[in-house]
Amino acid sequence: MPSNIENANISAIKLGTVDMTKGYIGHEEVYPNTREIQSAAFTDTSTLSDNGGTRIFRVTGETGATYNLTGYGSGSYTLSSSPYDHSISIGSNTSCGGSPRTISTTLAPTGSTVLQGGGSSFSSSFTQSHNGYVSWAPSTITVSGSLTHTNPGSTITTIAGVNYFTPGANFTATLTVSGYQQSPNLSNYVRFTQIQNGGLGGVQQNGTNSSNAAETVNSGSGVLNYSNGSWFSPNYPNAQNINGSYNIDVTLDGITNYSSIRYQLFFGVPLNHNDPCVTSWTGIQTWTGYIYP
Amino acid sequence: MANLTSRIGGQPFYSAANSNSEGLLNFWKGTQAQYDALKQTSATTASNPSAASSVTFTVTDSSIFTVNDTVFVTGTSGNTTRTEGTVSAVPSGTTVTVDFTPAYTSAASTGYQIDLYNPNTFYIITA
Repeated sequence: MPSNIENANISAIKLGTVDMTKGYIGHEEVYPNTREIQSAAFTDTSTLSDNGGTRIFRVTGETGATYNLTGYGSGSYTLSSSPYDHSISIGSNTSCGGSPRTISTTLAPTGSTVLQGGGSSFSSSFTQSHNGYVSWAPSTITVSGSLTHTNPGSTITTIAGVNYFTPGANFTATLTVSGYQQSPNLSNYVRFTQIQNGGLGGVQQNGTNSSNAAETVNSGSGVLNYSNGSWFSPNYPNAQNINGSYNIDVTLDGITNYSSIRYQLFFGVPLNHNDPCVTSWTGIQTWTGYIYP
Repeated sequence: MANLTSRIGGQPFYSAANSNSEGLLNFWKGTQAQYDALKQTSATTASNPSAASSVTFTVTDSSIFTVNDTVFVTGTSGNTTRTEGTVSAVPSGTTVTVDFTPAYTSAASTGYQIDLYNPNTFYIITA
């Protein structure tokens, strides 16, 4: 409640020769016309974790002081008691490719409120860390390998001058996977649902091409667990490194002869993963070159 | 000139509330510390007052209170309305009992201010 003479603030009052520093009517300050804020700052300015949290911005001053906060906790306020704690919530700082950020709040007095020291504002800040996640795309996996016909002779037939693999032909496919990388954010692997036995395929005796020849898978081995023609990695976050060598033994079945044949070395279907900053994650299919009887 | 030996009151003023000139503004002069000493903060109660006509507060120092003093109780939580009461007892050096009419209710047992600041007194603070 300011004290005025007409429209002018009372700038000074003396009692005899003594300065009157303040005046109250009951508990309400009526002189001087200003309210002073002594301080305003975060009570804790240590680095906040990337998960966010709540910090206290404490304002100390005379009740009735008015001020604006900008930055975090922004708004217009009247100091109802002193000290007064603004509880300020800070969200997480986990954006992909982000960086540590500064959490800052500035108090500026309004109306007849002044700051101790005569400045125009009080500012306080601290740093919030970032989770360090970067945006990334897993690099293209390199898969190389070959197919070998292991029982030539009886499983090759010649018809009208053309050689064909016949049912019962046995093949061994070998492949090597490289370039599979860990997430730089989580230090685990983004997983393919499985590395499948892609199977035999090739040009049939009737001249058409088949990518799914009848076959029987005999055995397989590799750096991952093998089961019935496929290799499996556990789901995240325990997906395994698939880099390494694999082989599989397979026999051509059915009744169709093939003039050329190849083997799909790698048929990987991407699976959901727990890295939120993967920008692209696609599957991969790789075949051996054709071999001929 | 003879010394002033009796005090007859403060400055009369027109009371709009009472529509007369019988209001009396008293004056008090002292330092900020002396003014601040007219209150006790962070007072507590044994439990949340509920329609209580009498409440005993635990304070740091009850020596500023005298029976029949008019006091004002303000909570920082619960009931934050500045409420007038009358000191009915000062049971110990750290307790004061205040009577309320009407009865007092608050959903807090801590954080009370009890003060003696008279709304009809002009407190003049000098260095």
